[in-house]
Amino acid sequence: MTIESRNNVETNRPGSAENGWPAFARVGPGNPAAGISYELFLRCVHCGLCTSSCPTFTELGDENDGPRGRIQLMRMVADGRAELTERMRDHLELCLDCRACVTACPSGVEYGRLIEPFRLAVKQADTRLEERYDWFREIVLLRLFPYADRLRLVLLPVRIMQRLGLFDVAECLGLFKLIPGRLGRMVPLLPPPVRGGPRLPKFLPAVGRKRARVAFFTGCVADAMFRQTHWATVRVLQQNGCDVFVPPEQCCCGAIHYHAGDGRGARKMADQNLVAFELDRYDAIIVNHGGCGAMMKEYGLHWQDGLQPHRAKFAEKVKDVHEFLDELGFVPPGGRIEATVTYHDSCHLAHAQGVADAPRRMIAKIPGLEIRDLPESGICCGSAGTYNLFEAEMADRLADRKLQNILSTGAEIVLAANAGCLLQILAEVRKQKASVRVMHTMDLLDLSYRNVSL
Amino acid sequence: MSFHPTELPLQEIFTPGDAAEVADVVRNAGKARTAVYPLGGGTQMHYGMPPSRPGVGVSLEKMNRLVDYPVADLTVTVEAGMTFAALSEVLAKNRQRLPLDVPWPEKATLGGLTSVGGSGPRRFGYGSLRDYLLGFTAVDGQGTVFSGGGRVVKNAAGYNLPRLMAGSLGTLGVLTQLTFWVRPVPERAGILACDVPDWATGEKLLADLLCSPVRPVAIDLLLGPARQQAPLLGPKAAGSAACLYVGFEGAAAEVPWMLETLRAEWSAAGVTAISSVADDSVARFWHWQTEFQAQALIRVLPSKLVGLLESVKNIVPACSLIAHAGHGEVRLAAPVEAASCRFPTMFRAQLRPLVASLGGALTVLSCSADAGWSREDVWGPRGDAFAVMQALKDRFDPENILNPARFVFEE
Amino acid sequence: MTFPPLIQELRRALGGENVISAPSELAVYDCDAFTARRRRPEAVVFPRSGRDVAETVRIALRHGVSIVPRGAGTSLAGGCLPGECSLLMMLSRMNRILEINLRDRTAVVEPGVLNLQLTTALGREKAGCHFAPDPSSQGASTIGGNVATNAGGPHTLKYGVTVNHVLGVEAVLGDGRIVQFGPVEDPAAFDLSGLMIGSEGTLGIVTKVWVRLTPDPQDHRAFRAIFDSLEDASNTVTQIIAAGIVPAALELMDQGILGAVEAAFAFGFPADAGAVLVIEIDGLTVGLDPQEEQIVALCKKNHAREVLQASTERERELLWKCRKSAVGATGRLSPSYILEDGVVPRTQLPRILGRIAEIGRKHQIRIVNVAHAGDGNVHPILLYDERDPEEFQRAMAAGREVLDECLACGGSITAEHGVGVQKLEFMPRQFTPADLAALRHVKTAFDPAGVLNPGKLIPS
Repeated sequence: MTIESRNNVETNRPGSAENGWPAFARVGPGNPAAGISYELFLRCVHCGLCTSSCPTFTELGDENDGPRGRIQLMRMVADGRAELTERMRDHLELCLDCRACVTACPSGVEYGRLIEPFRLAVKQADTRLEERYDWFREIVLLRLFPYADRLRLVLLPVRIMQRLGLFDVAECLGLFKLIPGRLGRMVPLLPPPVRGGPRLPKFLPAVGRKRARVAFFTGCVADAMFRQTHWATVRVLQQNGCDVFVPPEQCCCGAIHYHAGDGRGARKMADQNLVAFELDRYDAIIVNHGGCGAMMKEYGLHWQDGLQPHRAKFAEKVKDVHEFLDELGFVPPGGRIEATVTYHDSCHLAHAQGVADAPRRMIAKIPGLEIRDLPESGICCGSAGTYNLFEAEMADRLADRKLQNILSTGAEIVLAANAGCLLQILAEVRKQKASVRVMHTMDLLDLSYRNVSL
Repeated sequence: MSFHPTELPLQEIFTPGDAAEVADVVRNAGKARTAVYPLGGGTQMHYGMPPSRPGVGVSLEKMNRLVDYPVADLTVTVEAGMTFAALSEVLAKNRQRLPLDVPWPEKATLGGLTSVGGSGPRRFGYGSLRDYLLGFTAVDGQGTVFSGGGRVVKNAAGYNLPRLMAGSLGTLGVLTQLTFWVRPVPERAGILACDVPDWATGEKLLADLLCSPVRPVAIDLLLGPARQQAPLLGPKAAGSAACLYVGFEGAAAEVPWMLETLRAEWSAAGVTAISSVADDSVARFWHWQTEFQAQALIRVLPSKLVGLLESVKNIVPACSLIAHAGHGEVRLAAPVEAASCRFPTMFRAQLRPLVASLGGALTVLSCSADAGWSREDVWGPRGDAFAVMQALKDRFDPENILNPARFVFEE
Repeated sequence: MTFPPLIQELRRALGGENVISAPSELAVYDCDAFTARRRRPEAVVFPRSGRDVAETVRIALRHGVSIVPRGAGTSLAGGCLPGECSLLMMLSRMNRILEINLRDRTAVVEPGVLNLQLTTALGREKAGCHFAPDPSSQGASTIGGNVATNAGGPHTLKYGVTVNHVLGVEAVLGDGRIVQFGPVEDPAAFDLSGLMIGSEGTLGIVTKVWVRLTPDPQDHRAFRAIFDSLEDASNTVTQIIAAGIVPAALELMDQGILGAVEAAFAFGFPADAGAVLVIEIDGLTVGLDPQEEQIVALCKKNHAREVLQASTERERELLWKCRKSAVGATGRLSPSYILEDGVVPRTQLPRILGRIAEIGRKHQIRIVNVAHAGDGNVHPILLYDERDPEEFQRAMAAGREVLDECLACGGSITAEHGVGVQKLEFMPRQFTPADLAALRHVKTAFDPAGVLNPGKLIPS
């Protein structure tokens, strides 16, 4: 507490120039922090209670790879105390944006509102993107992934290979390793084929007493790869007295574009959804994958233009399916399922949306089910949207860490409520030849409602 | 047992009345490089190496006052010459106590107890004196009065000097004042005892205690003649390996519950001949153990204790062993005829290697000058700590006048 | 200035991935949770073993630089502030639990193991025991850091602080030697392990810790007692202790901090409460009723509005989360704060809390309070805005006055956060020159070259 400046000891006397800490925030245009309210930085009191919640800090033990350090890095750039170096950028890129730190932070630092716009600004300012055409980003990420139909079409040959068993042969022979780079990393992420079922109809009526009218959001990757989960979800909603509408004009939530640095592309998608969902008709817009839900709940924050109030209003209507049913009063299913399960917290559900108790409460109602606590449940599995395609090493470390934790519970089934997590955990299970089933919570609840065994 | 300080080569005994007077004595002695022997109640004169260097005694008998006793704070500050009994009496009036097992409490002073750092059966439940010493004042080897710690129950200012002083055998300073954390007196006490037919059963009973909801404050195994001498009724079946005594203290409802619970657990495990005693007899029993005359003290991790007992019994078949099994402490008393010149040899050749192999510590508690004990026999080989200890000694007592020769430092 | 040969040597010894020296990456190490002073280290090293630590100390000695050890960097007293020409040693990569030994009720851990990581691991093994020290930072802070500060926590009241729960340490001393003190207590040795605990990394760098495990209580009950005034609450604390009741924890939050806590966790504390006591009792089920009766009676006697028991384990956990995260939640009240860690004899609690309020008024600084009240350990939090230099000065002045008042009550300037750099100026007020000389004796005996965390704990 001494402030008499002892020799050589820098004193953080606010506003004093001699220690290199300038007077506050002269954030000019061109600074990646230009669009960030400085008050958001001040919320962080540097207590460090977030560090242990951060997957990358836990793995690497370096403050530069923890939330407190990253906030300091961004703030230094904001203050003009440091130029953004390549290394600093790497540390910021390594962030999974999983928001575990937000759950841990007692001061209420809105970390997502710092890292997301900051990284977006850095990416947009990066001239290399224009100089060096990134076919993967342009074609796969921005033009393929966000469109469920295109994705299904592209996957068709793979699906056929899978059905014929050729996929496994190719995997055994290591043929996929011949596919270069990020595309090669995507192959093992493909889940084994299941019958997804037909496209969802526009309307599915409530079963029993009608309690709510909801719109259901289908998304892109989720619809292409987990349509069976969509069917399960709407059946669960119907069983809970919901009239379910599926507006056909809806599109991807925009998260893939947003996180890949294409803010404009993301906004287009958001605005298409704004048109697709007639807000006044529904009690809620239901989302069953954490990543999409988190993005849509933040529609009101990302773009400051004339439509901002409409997006904010839209965001208020967005509900995760667990959150919604828990608030509505969940009708317990009746079918017995004799199994041991554990529940993995999807980051964008638990940390970004704060939905952690509801799914647990719901599965606890399934007769016969034994639930085991998953150690480090809130630590990211490494999927984090498209993170596992770009930060391969860290993603693999976290996937292994997650699987080891799952196996330590001895559970037969691991449940998660996000497409990215399901893909990542499934891939790790296959890679390590572990015997554990990976399911969406809605899949399991649906089985119980329908009284179908596993 | 001798309480008389004349075994020390004393030229003169001073009886200072305060820390400043103690400092005068030490300073004067330092000028002549005369040894200074701090004197408490004289109950531990047999402990450590017999000193040879002539010197002066500093008796703290006049420094026996209660300095400060804020009852509601549960702390007490006393001069180092106050006896444990005198302090206990003061505390008892407020239903408080220092939960330590102290031999000859009428004589033993708090300064002496702190220097020696001994412990007894209830260490398992309450820790040792080190855990209760909050602060002190002492006079170092240059006659400087200094203090460490404080009078509050939690304190992180500066190094934990009370920890350093406790158990330093008067080699770093003459203690003049001490502050302790005290605790409320529990309402009840009780012991449940049984016979231990063999070693394997003994280990099983001890391991099972860790899984039981009961919370003993003392877990003692008695072997050999001590078992017959113990002032407690109870099973003493011939041919069994040992007697096990599990002691409890606590609130009125707790102690009977624990006795019953453990009795039921033992019965279910097939233990027969279970007996129990309560309150006064319990205190007598613990006190008897504390004053039990042992020649050696062995400490090991609790998991090694039963193996140790078995091996020691093979080396010295007729010995008495009092084992505080909860915290891994064994007091060994050899039969009188064994306590002769052959004794050091046996320690060197058999006991010390045994204890070393178990990662434990062995200390000779009582050695007569003529039996041929070396410093290493008594205290063991110098470990990692010695270099730092010597560096500390050189700084707190550069002339090496405080209690020389008795502890691990060279004369 | 950097020393290329030094960095090269470190890279060779520890591996390039375990040394950081780029200025832009050093910046985040310029302070810990005490942010009022900052300085960048010359480099940051991440040892993976005791051997790495010893090698680093030897390299530092050769190059005349010092070493500042750091665990999670949650020190509130600047214990990990880099010194002049210093290497920062992050122990975060030495984070293995080496052994859990339930028969001896011990665990052996590396210093970078998180406090809660050990307790969680024990829970997973259904060990029936835990590591008792539970500082509020336990989710993030490391056991090495707990050892360095002799950390306490709410349950210190009944179970004691870190020193009571460590059986031994392995450490690298100032000459680069690796030594082991304990875990079996040897009457032939000073309690050097005990001496190292709370030494803030100035005597040695702990590379392994043997901790004592405490059996889980059979039963526990947590209560919140709502008071209209801070005075009533603090009087209750004093009377509970004086009655000879030893609750497992006895914690206080005042109205100011309750506002922040409520904003963070929405527990449901009444907005108009003057103070809340969080009281936990534990032990055998048969012993809890009488304790509960006595405590509730004392609360009522001191005009408690209500005393409510946490009815579910979840509610109890949330109650503790509120208490333990209270300090961090002050970010909601103000951009910056100074957190003090004074301690007074427990009967002086009402007096010190009264004085703290007066001091706040005098300096026009808002002060909110949390306290390990049962131990007499107060944590006044002085709020200021770092953009207002004048307010910052007033906050500093008020902080000084609070600590002076603690000393006047017969207390101490730190109970559990350590001296670090924050409290150096107070050491001469609490201790005489001879007392400080004794501390220097200890320092030079362990670290004659002064290579380990210089400039901390003892004023020069």
